[in-house]
Parts: sequence; structure tokens; C-alpha cells
Amino acid sequence: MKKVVSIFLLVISISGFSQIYVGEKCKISFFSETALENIDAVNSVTKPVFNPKTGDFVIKTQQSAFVFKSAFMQEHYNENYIETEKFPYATFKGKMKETIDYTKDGTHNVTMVGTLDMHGVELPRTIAGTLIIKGSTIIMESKFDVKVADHKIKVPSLYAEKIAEIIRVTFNTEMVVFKK
Amino acid sequence: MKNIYISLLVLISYTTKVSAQSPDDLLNMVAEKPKKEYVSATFKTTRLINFHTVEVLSRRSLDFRISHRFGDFNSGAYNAWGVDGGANIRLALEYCHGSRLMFGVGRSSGKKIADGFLKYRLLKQTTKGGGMPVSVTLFTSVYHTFMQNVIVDGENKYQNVSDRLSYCNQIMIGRKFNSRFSFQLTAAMVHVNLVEKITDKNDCFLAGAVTRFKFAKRQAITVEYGLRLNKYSKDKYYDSFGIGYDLETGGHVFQIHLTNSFGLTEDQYFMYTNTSWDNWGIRLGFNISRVFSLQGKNKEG
Repeated sequence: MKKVVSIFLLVISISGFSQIYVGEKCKISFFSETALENIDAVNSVTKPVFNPKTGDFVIKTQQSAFVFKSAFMQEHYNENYIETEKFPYATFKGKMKETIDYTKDGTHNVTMVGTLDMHGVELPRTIAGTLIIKGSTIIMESKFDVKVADHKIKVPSLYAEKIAEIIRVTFNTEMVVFKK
Repeated sequence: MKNIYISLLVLISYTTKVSAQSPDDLLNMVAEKPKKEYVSATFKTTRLINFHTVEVLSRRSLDFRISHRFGDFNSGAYNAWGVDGGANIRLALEYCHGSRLMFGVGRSSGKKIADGFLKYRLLKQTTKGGGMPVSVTLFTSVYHTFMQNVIVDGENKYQNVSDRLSYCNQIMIGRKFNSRFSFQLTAAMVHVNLVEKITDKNDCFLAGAVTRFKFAKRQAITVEYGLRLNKYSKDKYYDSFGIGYDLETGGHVFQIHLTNSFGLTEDQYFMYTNTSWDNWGIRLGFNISRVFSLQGKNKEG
């Protein structure tokens, strides 16, 4: 009987591990810096999903939800550059390389290997970041660069001086156990 | 004992189920119903050529507009087909603080008209599934002419300030059918306090149509037409008709067009277009719109 109970407890703890985490608070921003103009935009409605057991990580970002300083910039971003009607989402599907003990609080440097799908172009990417375990929440932070040309986003020569060739993306999220 | 085994089995099956999920399953698990989204940029600016569009300025935007109409084409080579003279120009400042109500003031040289208007975006078209197929905008305005007083039949032409005023009200219903094609219907009513002749009527009712075809990312062809529905004068006036080309460059929008209307305010181009396309009574015109964003810092950042 004791044995059965201990197996029972073990199973519970395993099932605890295979819980899925979802980003309740998530902020994705990007920044383009040139001598003429700085452009930044923030998206705070995205919900990334993470399965600690398998290391699977997925994030699907709605392009039209990026908020810019000026409505004009936002309109141009959606209409002329990212072509939101054709490509409404940017998606990253990845798997975390490292295995981490999620039962202890701590900070870990992690890498995600996967594909970034943006503007209809899928690119294999390895993105480094930080994973922080704090009680029942998992915090993820990352900074990475996206080359505009890599994703076939056309910038007319007239505006080339106002839009950086490499865009810096900042990502951070606070993830909690997903409840249906 | 049996119960424990069953609960064990249930738990195991639950764990295996969770761990077998693919990334797409993960996404589907947390997928939410798509939120209602508004369609943006049905037209590039608040005007098509002369006519107002359903668009209002975006939040905390100040629009400085320069509208210019040259003289008639049929004024001939000596007048460089209108380019040399007989120009009408309107300078205007227009502002929107929220996201629906905008106002503007302007001055046009033609009949020395100062104008002011209010424009309210009542309904916004939403993307598929949002439930709103069209955008609806209301418009009201007043015009004051600063023309010098003259004596007509021994009496002042403008006895009171009210004699100098006219008004326009409009309802606009527009739809962006796809990223290239937008269409709008306008119902308008113009009221002029003082008409030139005793046989003239003070009110004019119109049905208008404006449309845009975007053939490249930053370029579009535009057409507008205003059909006058009632007879208000014995003088010969024509329906306003214009064809234009829009070019967008960052914060500027250039609009170059051909129109038979010389007037730049609603009372003038709706009611008193006195030249016709038939005999090249048309002119070259352009609008420049420069929008300044007064929002300052990114409110989310």
C-alpha cells in the first residue's frame, strides 16, 4: 500500500512537470535606429506557450498589434513593409536545448533552436536568452536582431536612411501554469 | 485498491497526453477568439480630391493642408493652359485629438472664404468577423466670405453677417473592399444664406461617389463625382467631377488631379462648378497634406 501511494505521488509530481506555461504578461518591442529617425513599437497582447517537459516553445505575434509612436508609422508598417493583410502573424517555433530543474528558483542562460516565420519567410534561428524560475512563474528574456533584408521586407531607397537594416527585438514574458 | 489503480491510469494517460503535444497543439490550446479589429486606411487622407472621405485624422494628429487649383485648360496657350493664373488656393490646419472627432479651419483665396468644419467618425469598418461592413462619417461645416460689400440696386449686398454665411452637411458611407479598392457614397446638403438671384434657391442636395484604386504600394488613382439632385438656379452649373493620382511619401501625401471645379470649399464645388469637362473647362490641381504627430512618446513604451 505504501508503495502504491509513493508511485501515486511520483506520478503527481511528473504530471506537475508536464504542465504547460503561458505568458500572461508579455512584451515584444523592436527598435530601429538611424541618424535621421528612431522607430520603436511595442506589442503587449501576445501569449507565448512553453512546455518545460519537452522544451517546446511557441509564440505567434499579431503584426497589427504593434503600437507605434505615430499612427502614420503604424499604418506604413502594416501596409507597406510587413504587409499584414498577407502575413498577419510572425511566428517562432523552437525547442530549448538545455534541461533545467524547474523545482528550484534560479537564473539560467538558455538557447532556443527553431524557425522564425515572418513576412512569409521562414528562417532557422538560434536565439539566446535568460530563463528565470521564481516560484510558480517562469520569466524569459531575450534580445536578438532581425535583418530586414533576410525576410524580404523591401525598403525603397528613398526611405533607406530612415529605417535600419538590422532591427533589434526585445522580448520578455512572465509565464504561469496554463489553466483551461 | 482498485480505485487507486484507476486514478493512477487516469493520471498516467493525462501525463502522456500532455507530453505528446506538438508546438501547434500548444498554440491551439491557448488560442483565443480573434479580437475585433478596425480596417485602416480606407483612403489615404481626409480628402480624395475635393470631396471629404470617411477618414478622420488619427489620434493627436495635426494636418497642414495646401490645396491649389490652377486656371482653366481652355484659357489657351497664352495663359499656359491655366498654369499662369486664375488660381485658387486653400491653406488649412486640421486636428484630431481623440480617434473619432476632428475639426479644421481654412482659408481659400477664390471667394475669400474662411471655413470651419467638424467631422465625426460614427462607425468604423471592421475586419472579417467583426460585424461592421462599412465606415460612416458625419460632416458639418460653415463658410464665411470676406468679399467686399457692394451696393446692389441701392442696397448693401451684405447687410448682415449672416448674409455672408453658407453651410454644408454630409453623411458618408464608405467601404474598403480590399487593400486596393475602396468606394464611398456621400449624401450632402448645401445651404447658402444669400443667393445671387431672386429665382435661385438656397438649398442644394447631392449624391456623391468617390473611389480609390491603389495600383502600387504608395500610389493610387482616385475618382470623385457629385450629382446635384435639385434645380436651384437658372444659371448653368455642372456636376463636380475629378480624376486624381495619390502619391504617398512618409508623412506627406501628394494628390495631383484634374477637376472641373474651381472652388475648394463644399459650398463652391458642390453648387457652383461653372465649367465643364466637355469643353476643357478643367484645371490641374494639387493637394499636399503634411501630418504632424503630436502624440510624443509611445504610450505603450
